[in-house]
Amino acid sequence: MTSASATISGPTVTASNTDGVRLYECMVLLPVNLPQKEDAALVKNIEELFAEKNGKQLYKNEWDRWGLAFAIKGHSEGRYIVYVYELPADAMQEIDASLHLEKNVLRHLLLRIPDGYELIDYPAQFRTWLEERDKEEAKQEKEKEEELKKKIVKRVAKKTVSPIVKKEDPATHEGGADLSEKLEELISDEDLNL
Amino acid sequence: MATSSTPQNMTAPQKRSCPFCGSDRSREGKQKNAHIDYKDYPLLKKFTDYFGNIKKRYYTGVCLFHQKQLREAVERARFMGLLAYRK
Repeated sequence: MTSASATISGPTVTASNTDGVRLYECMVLLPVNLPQKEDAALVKNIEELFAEKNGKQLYKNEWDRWGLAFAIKGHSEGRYIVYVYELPADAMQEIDASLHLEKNVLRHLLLRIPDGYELIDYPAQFRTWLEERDKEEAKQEKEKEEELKKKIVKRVAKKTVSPIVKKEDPATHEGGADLSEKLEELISDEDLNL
Repeated sequence: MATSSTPQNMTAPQKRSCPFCGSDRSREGKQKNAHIDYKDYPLLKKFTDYFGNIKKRYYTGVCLFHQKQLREAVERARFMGLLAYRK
């Protein structure tokens, strides 16, 4: 796959052997402009939802401020949090419903994940990808500039040759003037019989 | 005629292999490298075009098995606001 995903690979999670317990991943999208107190309370609320259902938190990854691809409920920026929980099989639907009711959760996604699921820090991967892209763009720009410079040098070289030709032009014109004078002289010659 | 009408960066469809399977095109190999994550923006970005549509299998060379996974990942990413539905 991508070179970035090959370099960054995280640990894996597996469900414990107890009966009726499954692995779930939950991603929530929260607004960025909330006051700190409300934000902390909201996160605590979400985590309590899982805790009430005897969920065991295995992983938590808070992403930085993230620009959204389109406005969601009037927000153009958001904050993602990714959780991995071990939950009893019948708890998922109720948690999903209560996340729906949560006012300040813009979007949420609750998925079942397989055993051996790889925990990758995607924001870090994204940042390295951005850096690589910027480097490549800078490289391409440099190459373009060099090509332009070469072209300009070629043009200048052509221009330096052309003035010599131009210098010769007036001489030929003078020659032309001489010719016309001679012609007039010849024509005005009275001895001529045409 | 056919060669003149195809874009220069497009290779012949028969020669391309699935970027997710690589050389291992067996069923086991596919399941081994199966997971395409919806949070992997750089990867999904490659398989969507300027307008945000998922690129056709014909142009990317992805096998049907992984194209279906890719579709699911892109749709999840769109729902979470990571990818655009339409530009």
